[in-house]
Amino acid sequence: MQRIVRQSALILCVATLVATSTLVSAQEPTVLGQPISALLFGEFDYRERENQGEDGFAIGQTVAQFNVQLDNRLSVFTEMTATARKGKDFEFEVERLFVRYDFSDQYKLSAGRYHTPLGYWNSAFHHGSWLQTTVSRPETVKFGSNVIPIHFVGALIEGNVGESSFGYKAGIGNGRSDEINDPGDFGDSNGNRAWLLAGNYRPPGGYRLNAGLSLYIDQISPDFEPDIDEQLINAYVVLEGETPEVLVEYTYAKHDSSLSEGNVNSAYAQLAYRLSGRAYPFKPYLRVERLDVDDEDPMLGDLNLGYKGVTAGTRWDFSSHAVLKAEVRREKSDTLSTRNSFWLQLAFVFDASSAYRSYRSYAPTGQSYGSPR
Amino acid sequence: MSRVRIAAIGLLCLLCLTAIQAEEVASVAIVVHPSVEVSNLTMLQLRRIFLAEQQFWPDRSRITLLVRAPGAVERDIVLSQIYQMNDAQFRQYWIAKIFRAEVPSGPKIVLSSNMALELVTAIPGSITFISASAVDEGTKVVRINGLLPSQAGYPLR
Repeated sequence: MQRIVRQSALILCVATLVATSTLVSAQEPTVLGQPISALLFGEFDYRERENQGEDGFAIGQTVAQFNVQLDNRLSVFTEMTATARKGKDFEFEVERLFVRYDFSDQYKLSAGRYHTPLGYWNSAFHHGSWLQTTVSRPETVKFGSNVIPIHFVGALIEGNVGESSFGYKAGIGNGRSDEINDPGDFGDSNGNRAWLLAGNYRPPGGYRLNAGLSLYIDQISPDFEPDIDEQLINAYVVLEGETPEVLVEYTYAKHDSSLSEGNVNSAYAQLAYRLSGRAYPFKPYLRVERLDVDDEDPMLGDLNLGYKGVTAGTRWDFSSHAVLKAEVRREKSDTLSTRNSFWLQLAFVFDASSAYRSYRSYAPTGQSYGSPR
Repeated sequence: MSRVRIAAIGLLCLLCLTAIQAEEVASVAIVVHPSVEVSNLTMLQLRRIFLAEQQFWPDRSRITLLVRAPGAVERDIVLSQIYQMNDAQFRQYWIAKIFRAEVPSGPKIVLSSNMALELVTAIPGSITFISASAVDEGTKVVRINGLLPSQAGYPLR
Protein backbone atom coordinates (compact mmCIF):
# COMPACT_ATOMS: atom_id res chain seq x y z
CA MET A 1 0.00 0.00 0.00
CA GLN A 2 2.84 2.33 0.97
CA ARG A 3 4.53 1.59 -2.32
CA ILE A 4 1.39 2.48 -4.31
CA VAL A 5 1.08 5.77 -2.41
CA ARG A 6 4.77 6.55 -3.00
CA GLN A 7 4.52 5.80 -6.72
CA SER A 8 1.29 7.78 -7.05
CA ALA A 9 2.94 10.78 -5.35
CA LEU A 10 5.88 10.57 -7.74
CA ILE A 11 3.65 10.36 -10.80
CA LEU A 12 1.59 13.29 -9.50
CA CYS A 13 4.81 15.33 -9.18
CA VAL A 14 5.82 14.47 -12.73
CA ALA A 15 2.36 15.32 -14.04
CA THR A 16 2.43 18.64 -12.18
CA LEU A 17 5.81 19.49 -13.67
CA VAL A 18 4.55 18.68 -17.15
CA ALA A 19 1.39 20.73 -16.63
CA THR A 20 3.39 23.66 -15.23
CA SER A 21 5.85 23.54 -18.07
CA THR A 22 2.99 23.60 -20.56
CA LEU A 23 1.66 26.77 -18.96
CA VAL A 24 5.08 28.39 -19.01
CA SER A 25 5.73 27.34 -22.57
CA ALA A 26 2.52 28.90 -23.75
CA GLN A 27 4.10 32.25 -22.94
CA GLU A 28 7.14 31.59 -25.14
CA PRO A 29 6.12 31.32 -28.76
CA THR A 30 9.01 30.70 -31.10
CA VAL A 31 9.79 33.36 -33.67
CA LEU A 32 9.94 30.59 -36.27
CA GLY A 33 6.39 29.39 -35.78
CA GLN A 34 6.32 25.61 -35.31
CA PRO A 35 9.21 24.03 -37.21
CA ILE A 36 8.81 20.39 -38.16
CA SER A 37 11.59 17.91 -38.70
CA ALA A 38 10.46 14.97 -40.78
CA LEU A 39 12.48 11.89 -41.67
CA LEU A 40 11.47 8.86 -43.71
CA PHE A 41 13.62 5.74 -43.53
CA GLY A 42 13.14 2.75 -45.80
CA GLU A 43 14.89 -0.45 -46.79
CA PHE A 44 14.68 -3.24 -49.33
CA ASP A 45 16.48 -6.51 -48.70
CA TYR A 46 17.69 -9.58 -50.57
CA ARG A 47 18.74 -12.69 -48.63
CA GLU A 48 20.02 -16.21 -49.22
CA ARG A 49 20.12 -18.42 -46.12
CA GLU A 50 21.23 -22.02 -45.67
CA ASN A 51 18.55 -24.42 -44.46
CA GLN A 52 15.78 -21.89 -44.46
CA GLY A 53 13.02 -21.16 -46.96
CA GLU A 54 11.50 -17.89 -48.11
CA ASP A 55 14.68 -16.33 -49.32
CA GLY A 56 14.83 -13.74 -52.04
CA PHE A 57 13.63 -10.16 -52.02
CA ALA A 58 11.91 -8.68 -49.00
CA ILE A 59 10.43 -5.33 -48.21
CA GLY A 60 11.92 -4.10 -44.98
CA GLN A 61 10.51 -1.61 -42.58
CA THR A 62 9.36 1.86 -43.59
CA VAL A 63 9.62 4.45 -40.87
CA ALA A 64 8.13 7.93 -40.72
CA GLN A 65 9.27 10.26 -38.00
CA PHE A 66 8.06 13.75 -37.12
CA ASN A 67 9.41 16.13 -34.54
CA VAL A 68 7.28 19.22 -34.06
CA GLN A 69 8.64 22.10 -32.04
CA LEU A 70 5.52 23.58 -30.48
CA ASP A 71 7.54 26.45 -29.02
CA ASN A 72 11.08 27.13 -27.87
CA ARG A 73 10.92 24.49 -25.16
CA LEU A 74 8.06 22.13 -25.90
CA SER A 75 8.25 19.50 -28.63
CA VAL A 76 6.30 16.44 -29.72
CA PHE A 77 8.11 13.49 -31.24
CA THR A 78 6.34 10.70 -33.09
CA GLU A 79 7.57 7.71 -35.09
CA MET A 80 5.46 5.20 -36.98
CA THR A 81 6.44 2.06 -38.87
CA ALA A 82 4.93 -0.07 -41.60
CA THR A 83 6.28 -3.62 -41.58
CA ALA A 84 5.63 -6.43 -44.05
CA ARG A 85 4.30 -9.53 -42.22
CA LYS A 86 4.11 -13.08 -43.44
CA GLY A 87 0.58 -13.92 -44.56
CA LYS A 88 -0.77 -10.55 -43.46
CA ASP A 89 -1.12 -7.02 -44.69
CA PHE A 90 1.43 -4.45 -43.61
CA GLU A 91 1.47 -3.94 -39.86
CA PHE A 92 1.41 -0.33 -38.71
CA GLU A 93 2.71 0.59 -35.28
CA VAL A 94 3.39 3.72 -33.27
CA GLU A 95 6.97 3.06 -32.17
CA ARG A 96 7.70 6.29 -30.34
CA LEU A 97 5.40 9.06 -29.21
CA PHE A 98 6.38 11.50 -26.51
CA VAL A 99 6.06 15.09 -25.42
CA ARG A 100 9.19 16.77 -24.10
CA TYR A 101 9.75 20.01 -22.28
CA ASP A 102 13.33 21.34 -22.24
CA PHE A 103 13.90 23.41 -19.10
CA SER A 104 17.61 23.69 -19.84
CA ASP A 105 20.52 21.57 -21.02
CA GLN A 106 20.50 19.97 -17.58
CA TYR A 107 16.79 19.13 -17.29
CA LYS A 108 14.56 17.81 -20.06
CA LEU A 109 11.34 16.16 -18.97
CA SER A 110 9.25 13.95 -21.22
CA ALA A 111 6.43 11.44 -21.10
CA GLY A 112 5.33 8.85 -23.64
CA ARG A 113 6.64 5.79 -25.47
CA TYR A 114 10.37 5.47 -26.23
CA HIS A 115 13.02 3.08 -27.39
CA THR A 116 14.29 1.93 -24.01
CA PRO A 117 17.47 3.95 -23.41
CA LEU A 118 19.28 0.85 -22.22
CA GLY A 119 22.65 0.64 -23.90
CA TYR A 120 23.70 2.15 -27.19
CA TRP A 121 22.31 0.39 -30.25
CA ASN A 122 18.67 0.28 -29.17
CA SER A 123 18.31 4.04 -29.06
CA ALA A 124 21.08 5.10 -31.44
CA PHE A 125 19.94 3.21 -34.55
CA HIS A 126 16.76 1.25 -33.91
CA HIS A 127 14.60 1.61 -37.07
CA GLY A 128 17.09 3.80 -38.89
CA SER A 129 18.68 1.21 -41.19
CA TRP A 130 20.42 3.96 -43.13
CA LEU A 131 22.10 5.10 -39.92
CA GLN A 132 23.50 1.75 -38.85
CA THR A 133 26.57 0.46 -40.65
CA THR A 134 25.44 -3.16 -40.88
CA VAL A 135 22.39 -4.83 -42.41
CA SER A 136 21.45 -6.66 -39.24
CA ARG A 137 21.09 -5.67 -35.63
CA PRO A 138 22.88 -7.55 -32.87
CA GLU A 139 20.84 -10.51 -31.63
CA THR A 140 20.20 -8.92 -28.22
CA VAL A 141 18.49 -5.85 -29.66
CA LYS A 142 16.88 -7.33 -32.76
CA PHE A 143 13.19 -6.62 -33.36
CA GLY A 144 11.07 -8.77 -31.09
CA SER A 145 13.99 -9.47 -28.77
CA ASN A 146 13.08 -10.87 -25.39
CA VAL A 147 16.44 -10.12 -23.81
CA ILE A 148 15.91 -6.42 -23.24
CA PRO A 149 12.63 -4.51 -23.20
CA ILE A 150 12.85 -2.78 -26.60
CA HIS A 151 10.26 -0.12 -25.74
CA PHE A 152 9.54 1.85 -22.61
CA VAL A 153 6.26 3.57 -21.75
CA GLY A 154 6.56 6.13 -18.99
CA ALA A 155 8.35 9.35 -18.12
CA LEU A 156 12.01 10.34 -18.45
CA ILE A 157 14.15 13.13 -17.14
CA GLU A 158 17.45 13.63 -18.91
CA GLY A 159 20.19 16.15 -19.57
CA ASN A 160 23.80 17.07 -19.06
CA VAL A 161 25.47 17.01 -15.67
CA GLY A 162 26.27 20.68 -15.18
CA GLU A 163 28.49 21.99 -17.97
CA SER A 164 30.35 18.70 -18.23
CA SER A 165 30.42 16.08 -20.95
CA PHE A 166 28.48 13.68 -18.74
CA GLY A 167 24.83 12.99 -19.47
CA TYR A 168 22.13 11.19 -17.52
CA LYS A 169 18.67 9.70 -17.95
CA ALA A 170 16.30 8.57 -15.23
CA GLY A 171 12.93 7.06 -15.94
CA ILE A 172 9.90 5.35 -14.51
CA GLY A 173 7.54 3.31 -16.63
CA ASN A 174 5.19 0.37 -16.96
CA GLY A 175 7.91 -2.12 -17.76
CA ARG A 176 7.15 -5.31 -19.62
CA SER A 177 3.56 -6.47 -19.97
CA ASP A 178 2.31 -10.07 -19.58
CA GLU A 179 3.73 -10.64 -23.06
CA ILE A 180 7.35 -10.05 -22.15
CA ASN A 181 8.38 -8.31 -25.35
CA ASP A 182 5.50 -5.83 -25.20
CA PRO A 183 5.94 -2.57 -23.29
CA GLY A 184 2.61 -2.27 -21.48
CA ASP A 185 0.95 0.39 -23.61
CA PHE A 186 -2.34 0.02 -21.76
CA GLY A 187 -0.92 0.34 -18.25
CA ASP A 188 1.24 -1.57 -15.84
CA SER A 189 0.04 -5.17 -15.80
CA ASN A 190 1.15 -5.85 -12.23
CA GLY A 191 1.36 -2.49 -10.47
CA ASN A 192 5.16 -2.60 -10.18
CA ARG A 193 6.78 0.20 -12.11
CA ALA A 194 10.03 -0.30 -13.99
CA TRP A 195 12.97 1.99 -13.13
CA LEU A 196 15.74 3.06 -15.37
CA LEU A 197 18.96 4.94 -14.73
CA ALA A 198 21.57 5.68 -17.38
CA GLY A 199 24.69 7.79 -17.60
CA ASN A 200 27.12 8.46 -20.39
CA TYR A 201 30.31 10.38 -21.11
CA ARG A 202 30.77 12.02 -24.49
CA PRO A 203 33.79 14.35 -24.60
CA PRO A 204 34.28 16.57 -27.62
CA GLY A 205 37.01 15.23 -29.86
CA GLY A 206 37.72 13.80 -33.27
CA TYR A 207 37.13 10.16 -32.30
CA ARG A 208 33.75 11.03 -30.79
CA LEU A 209 33.99 8.72 -27.79
CA ASN A 210 30.74 7.76 -26.12
CA ALA A 211 30.80 5.52 -23.06
CA GLY A 212 27.78 4.64 -20.98
CA LEU A 213 26.36 2.56 -18.18
CA SER A 214 22.67 1.82 -17.59
CA LEU A 215 20.53 -0.04 -15.11
CA TYR A 216 16.95 -1.26 -15.50
CA ILE A 217 14.84 -2.82 -12.73
CA ASP A 218 11.37 -4.31 -13.05
CA GLN A 219 9.09 -7.00 -11.70
CA ILE A 220 7.26 -9.05 -14.29
CA SER A 221 4.15 -11.18 -13.85
CA PRO A 222 4.08 -13.52 -16.86
CA ASP A 223 1.18 -15.89 -17.39
CA PHE A 224 3.38 -18.98 -17.18
CA GLU A 225 5.43 -18.25 -14.03
CA PRO A 226 5.27 -16.66 -10.59
CA ASP A 227 6.45 -13.03 -10.42
CA ILE A 228 9.98 -12.52 -11.72
CA ASP A 229 12.37 -9.82 -10.54
CA GLU A 230 14.40 -8.50 -13.46
CA GLN A 231 17.64 -6.54 -13.28
CA LEU A 232 19.48 -5.46 -16.40
CA ILE A 233 22.87 -3.82 -16.56
CA ASN A 234 24.40 -2.53 -19.76
CA ALA A 235 27.81 -1.02 -20.44
CA TYR A 236 29.11 0.26 -23.76
CA VAL A 237 32.07 2.03 -25.29
CA VAL A 238 31.64 3.50 -28.73
CA LEU A 239 33.77 5.57 -31.11
CA GLU A 240 31.11 7.28 -33.20
CA GLY A 241 33.52 8.48 -35.87
CA GLU A 242 34.27 6.49 -38.99
CA THR A 243 38.06 6.07 -38.95
CA PRO A 244 37.54 3.86 -37.08
CA GLU A 245 33.98 3.20 -35.92
CA VAL A 246 33.99 0.96 -32.86
CA LEU A 247 31.01 -0.38 -30.95
CA VAL A 248 31.41 -2.63 -27.93
CA GLU A 249 28.38 -3.38 -25.80
CA TYR A 250 27.72 -5.79 -22.95
CA THR A 251 24.39 -6.62 -21.35
CA TYR A 252 23.83 -8.64 -18.19
CA ALA A 253 20.37 -9.73 -17.05
CA LYS A 254 19.38 -11.41 -13.82
CA HIS A 255 15.96 -12.99 -13.34
CA ASP A 256 14.72 -14.28 -9.97
CA SER A 257 11.47 -16.01 -9.20
CA SER A 258 10.34 -18.17 -6.28
CA LEU A 259 11.06 -21.25 -8.43
CA SER A 260 14.42 -20.53 -9.97
CA GLU A 261 16.95 -17.90 -10.93
CA GLY A 262 19.22 -17.39 -13.90
CA ASN A 263 21.47 -15.01 -15.77
CA VAL A 264 21.83 -13.80 -19.31
CA ASN A 265 25.14 -12.56 -20.71
CA SER A 266 25.26 -10.85 -24.05
CA ALA A 267 28.00 -8.97 -25.85
CA TYR A 268 29.02 -7.80 -29.28
CA ALA A 269 31.97 -5.94 -30.73
CA GLN A 270 31.83 -4.21 -34.09
CA LEU A 271 34.63 -2.57 -36.01
CA ALA A 272 34.23 -0.56 -39.20
CA TYR A 273 36.54 1.74 -41.12
CA ARG A 274 35.72 4.34 -43.77
CA LEU A 275 38.22 4.01 -46.61
CA SER A 276 39.94 7.02 -48.11
CA GLY A 277 40.54 8.47 -51.56
CA ARG A 278 38.48 7.03 -54.37
CA ALA A 279 37.32 4.22 -52.10
CA TYR A 280 35.81 6.74 -49.64
CA PRO A 281 32.19 5.62 -50.23
CA PHE A 282 33.05 2.16 -48.88
CA LYS A 283 33.08 1.17 -45.23
CA PRO A 284 33.98 -2.47 -44.51
CA TYR A 285 32.91 -3.91 -41.16
CA LEU A 286 33.14 -6.93 -38.92
CA ARG A 287 31.04 -7.89 -35.91
CA VAL A 288 31.28 -10.76 -33.47
CA GLU A 289 28.58 -11.43 -30.93
CA ARG A 290 27.49 -13.91 -28.34
CA LEU A 291 24.38 -14.46 -26.25
CA ASP A 292 24.32 -16.98 -23.39
CA VAL A 293 21.19 -17.79 -21.39
CA ASP A 294 21.10 -20.04 -18.30
CA ASP A 295 18.76 -22.98 -18.75
CA GLU A 296 17.39 -22.21 -15.27
CA ASP A 297 16.50 -18.63 -16.15
CA PRO A 298 12.79 -18.37 -15.19
CA MET A 299 11.97 -15.94 -17.98
CA LEU A 300 14.23 -16.82 -20.92
CA GLY A 301 15.63 -20.28 -20.06
CA ASP A 302 13.06 -22.19 -22.17
CA LEU A 303 13.25 -19.96 -25.21
CA ASN A 304 16.48 -21.33 -26.72
CA LEU A 305 17.99 -17.89 -27.22
CA GLY A 306 21.66 -18.90 -27.08
CA TYR A 307 23.50 -17.47 -30.09
CA LYS A 308 26.95 -17.00 -31.56
CA GLY A 309 27.53 -15.06 -34.73
CA VAL A 310 30.13 -13.45 -36.96
CA THR A 311 29.08 -10.82 -39.46
CA ALA A 312 31.25 -9.24 -42.14
CA GLY A 313 30.37 -6.92 -44.94
CA THR A 314 30.73 -3.55 -46.52
CA ARG A 315 28.60 -0.47 -46.73
CA TRP A 316 28.63 1.55 -49.96
CA ASP A 317 27.37 5.12 -49.67
CA PHE A 318 26.65 5.50 -53.38
CA SER A 319 24.39 8.50 -52.77
CA SER A 320 24.18 11.23 -50.15
CA HIS A 321 20.98 9.68 -48.75
CA ALA A 322 21.09 6.02 -49.86
CA VAL A 323 23.39 3.09 -49.19
CA LEU A 324 23.85 -0.45 -50.40
CA LYS A 325 25.17 -2.99 -47.90
CA ALA A 326 26.44 -6.49 -48.63
CA GLU A 327 26.87 -8.83 -45.68
CA VAL A 328 27.71 -12.45 -44.91
CA ARG A 329 26.90 -14.08 -41.60
CA ARG A 330 27.91 -17.27 -39.90
CA GLU A 331 25.58 -18.05 -37.01
CA LYS A 332 24.95 -20.80 -34.52
CA SER A 333 21.96 -20.74 -32.21
CA ASP A 334 20.32 -23.14 -29.76
CA THR A 335 17.69 -23.95 -32.37
CA LEU A 336 19.86 -24.09 -35.50
CA SER A 337 23.03 -25.81 -36.52
CA THR A 338 25.72 -23.55 -37.97
CA ARG A 339 24.19 -21.48 -40.76
CA ASN A 340 25.69 -19.21 -43.37
CA SER A 341 23.74 -16.48 -45.04
CA PHE A 342 24.19 -13.64 -47.49
CA TRP A 343 22.35 -10.34 -47.31
CA LEU A 344 21.99 -7.26 -49.46
CA GLN A 345 20.22 -4.18 -48.23
CA LEU A 346 19.30 -0.96 -49.96
CA ALA A 347 18.54 1.65 -47.30
CA PHE A 348 17.63 5.28 -47.70
CA VAL A 349 16.56 8.33 -45.72
CA PHE A 350 14.45 11.24 -46.86
CA ASP A 351 15.02 14.40 -44.82
CA ALA A 352 12.04 16.65 -45.29
CA SER A 353 12.75 19.33 -42.73
CA SER A 354 10.57 22.35 -43.16
CA ALA A 355 12.94 24.64 -41.27
CA TYR A 356 14.07 26.35 -44.42
CA ARG A 357 10.49 27.15 -45.40
CA SER A 358 9.99 28.68 -41.94
CA TYR A 359 12.82 31.06 -42.60
CA ARG A 360 11.52 31.96 -46.02
CA SER A 361 8.20 32.88 -44.46
CA TYR A 362 9.99 34.82 -41.73
CA ALA A 363 12.06 36.85 -44.21
CA PRO A 364 10.74 40.34 -44.91
CA THR A 365 8.42 40.42 -47.90
CA GLY A 366 10.20 40.82 -51.20
CA GLN A 367 13.63 40.29 -49.62
CA SER A 368 15.99 38.21 -51.69
CA TYR A 369 18.93 36.54 -50.02
CA GLY A 370 20.42 35.22 -53.23
CA SER A 371 21.48 31.69 -53.85
CA PRO A 372 24.26 29.57 -52.36
CA ARG A 373 27.71 30.21 -53.63
CA MET B 1 63.39 52.70 -65.44
CA SER B 2 60.96 54.78 -63.41
CA ARG B 3 58.03 53.17 -65.28
CA VAL B 4 59.35 49.74 -64.37
CA ARG B 5 59.70 50.87 -60.75
CA ILE B 6 56.14 52.22 -60.72
CA ALA B 7 54.85 49.01 -62.29
CA ALA B 8 56.74 46.93 -59.72
CA ILE B 9 55.38 49.02 -56.82
CA GLY B 10 51.88 48.75 -58.30
CA LEU B 11 52.23 44.99 -58.60
CA LEU B 12 53.48 44.76 -55.02
CA CYS B 13 50.53 46.82 -53.77
CA LEU B 14 48.13 44.58 -55.71
CA LEU B 15 49.70 41.48 -54.21
CA CYS B 16 49.44 42.97 -50.70
CA LEU B 17 45.77 43.87 -51.23
CA THR B 18 45.03 40.41 -52.53
CA ALA B 19 46.80 38.88 -49.55
CA ILE B 20 44.84 41.08 -47.12
CA GLN B 21 41.55 40.19 -48.82
CA ALA B 22 42.40 36.51 -48.82
CA GLU B 23 43.24 36.78 -45.11
CA GLU B 24 39.86 38.38 -44.41
CA VAL B 25 37.86 35.85 -46.40
CA ALA B 26 39.77 33.00 -44.79
CA SER B 27 38.84 34.12 -41.25
CA VAL B 28 35.42 33.22 -39.97
CA ALA B 29 33.72 35.41 -37.39
CA ILE B 30 31.26 33.90 -34.92
CA VAL B 31 28.26 36.20 -34.62
CA VAL B 32 25.39 36.13 -32.13
CA HIS B 33 22.13 37.97 -31.61
CA PRO B 34 22.81 41.29 -29.79
CA SER B 35 20.83 40.15 -26.73
CA VAL B 36 23.08 37.12 -26.12
CA GLU B 37 25.10 37.89 -22.98
CA VAL B 38 28.21 36.08 -24.15
CA SER B 39 31.23 37.87 -25.53
CA ASN B 40 33.85 35.11 -25.40
CA LEU B 41 33.75 31.36 -26.00
CA THR B 42 36.46 28.76 -25.82
CA MET B 43 36.83 26.44 -28.80
CA LEU B 44 35.48 23.67 -26.58
CA GLN B 45 32.34 25.68 -25.78
CA LEU B 46 31.92 26.64 -29.42
CA ARG B 47 32.20 23.03 -30.46
CA ARG B 48 29.57 21.96 -27.90
CA ILE B 49 27.20 24.65 -29.19
CA PHE B 50 27.66 23.76 -32.85
CA LEU B 51 27.27 20.05 -32.07
CA ALA B 52 24.05 20.89 -30.15
CA GLU B 53 25.44 19.36 -26.99
CA GLN B 54 24.75 22.75 -25.46
CA GLN B 55 21.37 23.99 -26.64
CA PHE B 56 20.77 26.85 -24.20
CA TRP B 57 22.65 30.05 -23.35
CA PRO B 58 23.49 30.71 -19.70
CA ASP B 59 20.31 32.85 -19.43
CA ARG B 60 18.36 29.69 -20.50
CA SER B 61 17.23 31.06 -23.84
CA ARG B 62 17.40 28.49 -26.63
CA ILE B 63 20.29 28.61 -29.06
CA THR B 64 19.24 28.74 -32.71
CA LEU B 65 22.01 27.59 -35.01
CA LEU B 66 22.29 29.15 -38.47
CA VAL B 67 24.60 27.34 -40.88
CA ARG B 68 25.63 28.31 -44.41
CA ALA B 69 24.53 26.08 -47.27
CA PRO B 70 27.16 23.81 -48.90
CA GLY B 71 29.58 25.60 -51.21
CA ALA B 72 30.55 28.49 -48.94
CA VAL B 73 34.21 28.81 -47.89
CA GLU B 74 33.11 29.78 -44.36
CA ARG B 75 31.18 26.52 -44.07
CA ASP B 76 34.22 24.51 -45.12
CA ILE B 77 36.28 26.19 -42.38
CA VAL B 78 33.62 25.57 -39.73
CA LEU B 79 33.20 21.94 -40.77
CA SER B 80 36.92 21.28 -40.59
CA GLN B 81 37.80 23.39 -37.52
CA ILE B 82 34.71 23.00 -35.34
CA TYR B 83 32.87 19.88 -36.47
CA GLN B 84 35.95 18.00 -37.72
CA MET B 85 33.68 16.41 -40.31
CA ASN B 86 33.13 16.51 -44.03
CA ASP B 87 29.76 17.33 -45.61
CA ALA B 88 28.57 13.71 -45.65
CA GLN B 89 29.47 13.18 -42.00
CA PHE B 90 27.86 16.50 -41.09
CA ARG B 91 24.61 15.44 -42.79
CA GLN B 92 24.62 12.05 -41.10
CA TYR B 93 25.42 13.62 -37.74
CA TRP B 94 22.31 15.81 -37.83
CA ILE B 95 20.00 13.13 -39.20
CA ALA B 96 21.17 10.88 -36.35
CA LYS B 97 20.71 13.68 -33.85
CA ILE B 98 17.12 14.28 -34.99
CA PHE B 99 16.40 10.54 -35.20
CA ARG B 100 17.53 10.11 -31.59
CA ALA B 101 15.35 13.04 -30.55
CA GLU B 102 18.40 14.78 -29.07
CA VAL B 103 17.38 17.98 -30.84
CA PRO B 104 13.95 19.22 -31.89
CA SER B 105 15.33 20.22 -35.29
CA GLY B 106 18.60 20.56 -37.16
CA PRO B 107 20.50 23.78 -37.87
CA LYS B 108 18.77 26.31 -40.08
CA ILE B 109 20.34 26.73 -43.48
CA VAL B 110 21.16 30.24 -44.67
CA LEU B 111 22.09 30.94 -48.25
CA SER B 112 24.38 33.95 -47.98
CA SER B 113 26.26 36.19 -45.53
CA ASN B 114 23.51 38.81 -45.90
CA MET B 115 20.87 36.29 -44.95
CA ALA B 116 22.95 35.10 -41.98
CA LEU B 117 23.39 38.70 -40.76
CA GLU B 118 19.71 39.57 -41.21
CA LEU B 119 18.55 36.49 -39.32
CA VAL B 120 21.12 36.54 -36.54
CA THR B 121 20.10 40.08 -35.63
CA ALA B 122 16.39 39.18 -35.87
CA ILE B 123 16.20 35.86 -34.01
CA PRO B 124 16.88 35.98 -30.25
CA GLY B 125 19.43 33.40 -29.15
CA SER B 126 20.76 32.76 -32.63
CA ILE B 127 24.40 32.13 -33.52
CA THR B 128 26.04 31.92 -36.92
CA PHE B 129 29.33 32.40 -38.75
CA ILE B 130 30.26 34.76 -41.55
CA SER B 131 33.40 35.83 -43.32
CA ALA B 132 35.32 38.29 -41.12
CA SER B 133 35.26 40.73 -44.03
CA ALA B 134 31.44 40.78 -43.96
CA VAL B 135 31.24 41.98 -40.34
CA ASP B 136 29.65 45.42 -40.03
CA GLU B 137 29.25 47.85 -37.11
CA GLY B 138 25.97 46.50 -35.77
CA THR B 139 27.18 42.91 -35.63
CA LYS B 140 27.99 41.28 -32.30
CA VAL B 141 31.13 39.23 -32.84
CA VAL B 142 32.13 36.71 -30.17
CA ARG B 143 35.79 36.29 -29.27
CA ILE B 144 37.12 32.74 -29.56
CA ASN B 145 39.69 31.83 -26.92
CA GLY B 146 39.79 35.58 -26.18
CA LEU B 147 40.72 36.50 -29.76
CA LEU B 148 38.97 38.41 -32.53
CA PRO B 149 39.28 37.31 -36.18
CA SER B 150 41.84 40.04 -36.90
CA GLN B 151 44.19 38.90 -34.12
CA ALA B 152 47.09 36.51 -34.45
CA GLY B 153 46.35 33.00 -33.28
CA TYR B 154 42.64 33.19 -34.03
CA PRO B 155 41.61 29.56 -34.51
CA LEU B 156 38.91 29.78 -37.21
CA ARG B 157 40.95 30.22 -40.36
